[in-house]
Amino acid sequence: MTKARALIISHPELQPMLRRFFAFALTVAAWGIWVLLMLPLLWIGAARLDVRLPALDYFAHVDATKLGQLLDFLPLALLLVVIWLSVQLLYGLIVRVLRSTDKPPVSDATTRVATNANQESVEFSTWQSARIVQVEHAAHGRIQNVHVVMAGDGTSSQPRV
Amino acid sequence: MMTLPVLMGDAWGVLLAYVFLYPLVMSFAWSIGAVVFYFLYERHPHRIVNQPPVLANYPMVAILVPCFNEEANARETITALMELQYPNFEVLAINDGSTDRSAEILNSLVAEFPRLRVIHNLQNQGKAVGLNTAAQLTQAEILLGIDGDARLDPWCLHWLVRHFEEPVVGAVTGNPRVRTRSTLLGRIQVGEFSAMIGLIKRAQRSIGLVFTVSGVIAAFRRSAVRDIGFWSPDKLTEDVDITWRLHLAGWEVRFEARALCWILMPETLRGLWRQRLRWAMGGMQVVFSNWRKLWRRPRLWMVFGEYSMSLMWAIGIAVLVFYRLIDLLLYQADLQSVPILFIGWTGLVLSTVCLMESLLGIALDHPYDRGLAKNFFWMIWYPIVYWMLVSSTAVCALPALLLRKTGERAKWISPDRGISPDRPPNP
Repeated sequence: MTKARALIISHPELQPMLRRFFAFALTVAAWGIWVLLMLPLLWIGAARLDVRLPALDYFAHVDATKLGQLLDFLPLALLLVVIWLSVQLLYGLIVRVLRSTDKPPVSDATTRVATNANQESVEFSTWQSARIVQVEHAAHGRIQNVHVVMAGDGTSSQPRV
Repeated sequence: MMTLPVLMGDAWGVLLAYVFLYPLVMSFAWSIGAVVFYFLYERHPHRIVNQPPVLANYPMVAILVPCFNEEANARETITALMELQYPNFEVLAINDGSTDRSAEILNSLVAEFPRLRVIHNLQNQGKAVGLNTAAQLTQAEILLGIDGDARLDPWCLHWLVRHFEEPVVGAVTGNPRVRTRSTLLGRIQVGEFSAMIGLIKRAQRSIGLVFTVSGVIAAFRRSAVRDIGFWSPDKLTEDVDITWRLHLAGWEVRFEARALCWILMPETLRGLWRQRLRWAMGGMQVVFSNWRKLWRRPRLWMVFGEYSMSLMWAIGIAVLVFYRLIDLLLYQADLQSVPILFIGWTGLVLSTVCLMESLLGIALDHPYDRGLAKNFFWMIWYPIVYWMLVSSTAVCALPALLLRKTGERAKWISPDRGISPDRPPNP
């Protein structure tokens, strides 16, 4: 019997030390890059306080005008998203109220399921209560034959090999 | 030199704008939708998982557990199911022609647990046929499909079944939580399931259009499944397929954040790649095979449109990254590629928005998964890793899907289930 595992499986110690170190170091580096990207905000804040900081040139290759043009579309896009969500939400609520009764619960009678599987319903209900069964399928995946190994009352028969 | 930007002219600018704006706008859309879901559905009656609402009645539920070579997980999964607090259920374990000791283990569990029934498929048939077989060999009104390595929360059924009190509901999917958190990949996926999958499911539910149930935990009304002809054996992602067919037949599909299911996810690149490639192929397969029927349900146009846009974005980003890589490799020539997504203002805006999205995901899922906040440190990787994965799988899935034979049976792929003391990593 296998020992029960904890719900959360966290065992970083099972990895090689080098891999763990690289994962950690690269993640710290990624955060570092993000902080570096945030620096211009610091520059903007400093400028407002009349503090002059050394010039940054690592955004020199980025065309700020183009970016500004892109960002100009953002409020419009967001507005469209909000309108779209609102319309969908309203429509969903209306549909829900209108069709609350158009899908009545259908009783899924055993006979209908049996017919679907091309079987006699009496035999089918035996299968539906059996504890262990073996099933053969036709080429298209439909049930072809069922052999009851252990019936619902606990009686057993020899399994097919 | 005639570079791609010169050849494409304005189209190049449009591509750059699209690749930048699509994830940005959708991040806001998912976040707003998730907050709407929280106020409409999640806040009421409360978010305490182990205090589910009292139901008017407790219909019989059959939990279908397809197993293929699950000797390592079958006992744990079945034992956890026996701890469910729901009063009226049975478990049908489907041994789908396993070649390991799964059959022997399941048979021995039958003696221990009176609620357990076992179906042995004499030949391997694939997950969909396994589910179809079990669905016909039970009399239960509600069918809950889970994976052979998943662990359900004891109160999960209460939260799922309450939705079926409304007759329009055909399916309800739960909230999968990642258990495997040992490696960097595992931890990134913990964040992904909250920041991406959790937010998207909430947002889609808030507009009444869940794109797909999660195959690892999805409950169905039996008559709805019969109404649409059960699961399709040839679909690579049977969960996406059945969701779309339920939508097309007019059934409502919902998401329940309090129905928790603890799952094992791949923790190797190879395992993750195989899983995501199958997801990408399966999604495309379902959308391509159903788009002609969309006229019947105009509301599904939205989902179709969003899916198509995300596919175009994935291909667009692949083109840009590929072009950028070539430019970096060619020392003698400047192809005028732009490092638009990862460096500079665009990188700052996108990464910041993604981190905010992750924080929102953590806040929403925190009551269900208390250790979630610890993973925020690793979520800095999520945009890059997730986008690269989505983009590369989309590009590879398209030809793979076109080369696939029509009607070919979808077979099991035994996934990587992360590392643990009984499954140490490869050296």
